[in-house]
Amino acid sequence: MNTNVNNDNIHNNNPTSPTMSINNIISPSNANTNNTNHNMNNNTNIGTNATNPMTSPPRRLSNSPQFLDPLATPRSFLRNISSSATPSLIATPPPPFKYPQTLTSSQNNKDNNQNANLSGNADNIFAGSPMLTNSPYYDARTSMASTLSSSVVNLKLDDKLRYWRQDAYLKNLYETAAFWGNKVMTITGDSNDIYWLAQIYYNMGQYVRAQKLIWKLMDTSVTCRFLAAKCCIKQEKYQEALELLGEENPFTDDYRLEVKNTEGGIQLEASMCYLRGYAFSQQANLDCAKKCFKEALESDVKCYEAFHELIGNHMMTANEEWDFITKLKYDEQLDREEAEFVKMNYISMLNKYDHLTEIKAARHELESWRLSNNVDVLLSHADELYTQCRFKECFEITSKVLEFDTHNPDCLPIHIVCLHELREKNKLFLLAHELVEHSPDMPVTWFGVGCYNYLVGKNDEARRYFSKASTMDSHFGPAWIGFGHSFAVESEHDQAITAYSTAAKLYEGSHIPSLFIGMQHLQANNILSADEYLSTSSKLCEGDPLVYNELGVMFYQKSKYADAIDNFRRALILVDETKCRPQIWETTWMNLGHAFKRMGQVDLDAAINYFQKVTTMTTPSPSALTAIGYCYHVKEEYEEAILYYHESLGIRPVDPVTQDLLERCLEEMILFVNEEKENERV
Amino acid sequence: MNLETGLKPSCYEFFPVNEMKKVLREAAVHCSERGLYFSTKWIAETLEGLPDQPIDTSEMDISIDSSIQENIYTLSSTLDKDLTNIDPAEYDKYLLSKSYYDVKEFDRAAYFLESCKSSKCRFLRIYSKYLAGEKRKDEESHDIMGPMNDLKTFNKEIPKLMEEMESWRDSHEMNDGFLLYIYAVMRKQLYPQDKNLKDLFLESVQNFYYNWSAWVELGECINNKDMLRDVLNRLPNTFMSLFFKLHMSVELQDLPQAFIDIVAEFPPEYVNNRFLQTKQATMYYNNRDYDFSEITFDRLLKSDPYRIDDMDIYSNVLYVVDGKSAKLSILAHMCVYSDKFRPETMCALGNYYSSKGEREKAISYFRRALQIDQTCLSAWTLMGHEYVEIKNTHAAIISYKRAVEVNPKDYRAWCGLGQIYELLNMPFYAIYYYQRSSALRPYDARMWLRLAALYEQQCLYVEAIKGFSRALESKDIDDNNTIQAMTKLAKLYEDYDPEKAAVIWLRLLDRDDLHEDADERKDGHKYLASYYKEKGEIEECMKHADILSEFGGSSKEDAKVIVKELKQSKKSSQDESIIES
Repeated sequence: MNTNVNNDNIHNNNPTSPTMSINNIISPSNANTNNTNHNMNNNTNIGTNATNPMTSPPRRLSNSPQFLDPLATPRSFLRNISSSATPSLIATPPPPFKYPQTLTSSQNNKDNNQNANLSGNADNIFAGSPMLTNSPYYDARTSMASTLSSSVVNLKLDDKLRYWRQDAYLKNLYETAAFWGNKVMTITGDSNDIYWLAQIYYNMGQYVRAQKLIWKLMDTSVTCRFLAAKCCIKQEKYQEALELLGEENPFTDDYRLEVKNTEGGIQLEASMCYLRGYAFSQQANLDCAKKCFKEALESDVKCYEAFHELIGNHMMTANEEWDFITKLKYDEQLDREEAEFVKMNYISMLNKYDHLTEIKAARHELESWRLSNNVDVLLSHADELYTQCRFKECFEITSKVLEFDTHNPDCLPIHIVCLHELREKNKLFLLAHELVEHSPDMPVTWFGVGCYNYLVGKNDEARRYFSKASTMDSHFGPAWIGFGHSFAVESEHDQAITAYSTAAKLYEGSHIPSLFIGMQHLQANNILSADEYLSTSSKLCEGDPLVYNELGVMFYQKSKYADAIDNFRRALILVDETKCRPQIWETTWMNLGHAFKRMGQVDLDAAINYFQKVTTMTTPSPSALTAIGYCYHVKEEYEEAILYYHESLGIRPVDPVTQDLLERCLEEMILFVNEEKENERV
Repeated sequence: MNLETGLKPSCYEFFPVNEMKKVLREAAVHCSERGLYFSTKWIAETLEGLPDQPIDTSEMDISIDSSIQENIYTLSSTLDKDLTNIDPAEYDKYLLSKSYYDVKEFDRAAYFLESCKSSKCRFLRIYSKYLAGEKRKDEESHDIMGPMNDLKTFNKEIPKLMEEMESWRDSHEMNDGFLLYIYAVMRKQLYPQDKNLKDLFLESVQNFYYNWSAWVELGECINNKDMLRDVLNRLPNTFMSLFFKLHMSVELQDLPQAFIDIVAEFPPEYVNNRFLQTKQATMYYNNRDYDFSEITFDRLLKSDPYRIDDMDIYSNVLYVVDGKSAKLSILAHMCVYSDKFRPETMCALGNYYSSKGEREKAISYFRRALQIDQTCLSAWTLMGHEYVEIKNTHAAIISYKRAVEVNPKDYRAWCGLGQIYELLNMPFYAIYYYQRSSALRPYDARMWLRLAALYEQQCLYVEAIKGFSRALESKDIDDNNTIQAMTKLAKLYEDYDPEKAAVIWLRLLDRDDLHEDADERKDGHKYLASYYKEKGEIEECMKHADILSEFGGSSKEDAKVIVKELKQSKKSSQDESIIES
């Protein structure tokens, strides 16, 4: 929307939607050109609007003929003006790098009229709110909008070279772009051209080269510093990146903008915070990372990457998440409609154990923005369904998503897990193969392969692939959980716990790893530890029935049957709200039955009721049948008991417990009947 | 026991023959349209069994074929309008699916009916899916009695289908007899213990009378005569109910008289009905009247020489009767000729080899029968018998257990289980299984004898006494067993009820077939001598003591002791009287 406005203002020319999208994609990088040209642009503005009190250096005026038609001339080509400025910039030793002085609002800067330091100004624009003319979309459009051929003809050689570079760059023809960019850089030596070339190298994956190229500019330009940091991160030199970025956000509250940033792109400050956080998280310094990501979002709510890291990696507990995301400064930073839009988008993506009604409402609202078929909105719904164990419906949605967005990395894990839950061996096999073929470098691919092997019971293989996925990206939590599961299935409790613990470290705010650890401790009969982990889990998330089920089991093992019953009931109430198929929670019903069974004679009927419920859910389970038999046995209704024991043995003939019970029951029955008759006789 | 409780013959509505034929034809079309071949077969058989004299020429054209076709066509079209209300678009899909169904491509058939709403299409879809699941289930389950055959496999389609049907049921879209039938069938497979099953089947037959499969399933849900009485009272007064009553009479092993009473309720046109004949033959077999059974089967085969249905029972009959091995061989040959791959054929073959003493071969044929149809009751039971013969108790137990799972009314399997556990020295199991068996055949002496012996062994004398008395009450007990039972009973009563013991001993000693020198006589006279001694009837006592001493040996000593004691007691009583006087 913003771009449209800009275009109308400047070109009276509505760009077609494809241009728009391209603009959006490249917006952050394009912003740089604007910045370096800031003065230039300002000049044009001055020329036309004459509102800006800023005075321009005389050497720029020498090029003034070109300003005659600023609207017709793509401004990016006017950059040659600054070329004369650059030598001075490079010649003068750059001042020691400092953020704050330059990082006041652009308005201030202009008022201060500090034009001596060009790069300072550039940074300024970048960090501050770009003005209309400095919109980051501006350059992209102009370079793409080669439409203005008339003006192209009139250009000088280096402008043409720039034009070619830009055009090739946008068409992903990096070699070409680099070639012409190199030429123009050597010719002009302009810092903008250097920056652009570095940008091209970065996109070509030549990070060292890029970094080297902008090494000198780094101290003067924050943008360049940012790019350099990105290069470091790409080279996995996280410490170096942190050194470049500084370990803390230098932009403290004093400098934070209070003005609305309605047209601007993503704030560089936020991006830098994000990058810092990312480096921290790669260094496994999750606390700092979390802080940085939060800062990033606070300084610019649009910084989705930070949001994604925070939420996707469960860095906060459910409640923390909710509080943080709902209380971000949407309204302060954005217009009302946009603020609402962003907020709803974020809310729809929060975790789905709590605040379900709000999340649903958010999704509903998003649909009114014609986003009902948007991948993320669909995924939000899928996630909700998955949390509610409605795997089939969830699978339908994820399949739909993958149909028009193949191999969407956010969708794939949930899709794979659904396939696993639905025991769709063949489909999972096919998907895993496709993934391996097309994107072998995504961790989720190998997670899928691992899931398939886990599903078919090849635990060793599964482990191999899960660990492959987690080595590719040590922050890929599902792989760790899968790794743990593959041990848990084999009752290797200790190893499973180790794997889950890794996941727990990664996903600090998620209750799931600690829940699984608790389950393992339970199985290993380690009640105390189990208690600890399960209560941690229940503190982290209050809406997961599984937690209550496990708590119930724990109480059961502690022989606190009343508490166990409480917890099972709570779990079932939660389950009831989700409207999933009751079969999935069969175990909880069973557990409830067992707990009632232990409550003594009085509650046997209740126990039988619950077991009966279990037997009518899916294919009858022999354990439920045996349990019913046992209840009748205790009630001394032998005939019924024997019937149920028999039925259980019919399904699972070699069950020593049932066999034993049956034998005793038969004996007791016959002796009991006889005794009764003897008594009658007497 | 007579089944005619509250229902008089007139209660069942029989139409005149022509009318009847019309109804049955219509019903046959209904069933065959839904792929219910078994029911169709039954109806057509009944239809064909009706006499064809009173043909109404106005109805039958010269070209019979076309008229029938036309007839069927008009029928089906009217039916469509009346019952299923199938719209033309669905009809094409139906035709496609039906043809897939006919060539046993069940999944495919179901797929093309997915969106159809009419109850006929729905039925065909559910039924196809169910059959597809059954097919997969059979393929999944391992070899019969193989090492992996421990776990029962389930039809994985059923839960999904049931869920769907339950939603129809909730929205009252399940008024169709066929849909109710398939719903009940699936439910029965999943929860055999469900108490409401028979109500479901009842609902189904009340909706559509002529689906014989539903009647049979209903019959399987009925375990005893009380239940049957209850169900009979709730049946519609269609003639089908009478067929059902007859069927149940055989299933519950009624006595011949009860069966004949029911047959008498049928109008005379039904004498040649092959269904009736089969049931009659089976009934005779159940009552161990093998000659009659054989005759009936022979008659049946004469009119229907390529018949395989129920031939397993006939082979059982021939197996039991001595000297029929040639006939059994011919029967087996005939069956193989008609269809090699029918469980009945396999059973006949198995019986044949068993009669030749080739147990392993027999077992392999029974196993084949089960591979074809896992619910073939005869094969499970017979295989159990064979395993008992070759002393493979473990396998025998499994076979019998599967047999009673298939049909808990099979007393032979229960009895077999009792025998094996008796052999294995697990008396409580044995008692339980004999109890089940004797509950099914309360008048069969063999089970009662065994049961009583077991009770005695476990020192449960009250039960033992009851068991022996029941055995003696039943009609089919042979002399040898009678003597044994009476001896045991008399001995048991000695501690509990001396009077009764004496009565039984006396009755036993009176029997002509008791050997002069038998040990029972010694015991009897000894007991009676001491019994009368206690009662002070000196003459009787002396009489028995005299007979006892005639046996010589230790008996003579016993007699002496008794006489001595008698004299002493006499003396002491005299002494007492002297003192008193």
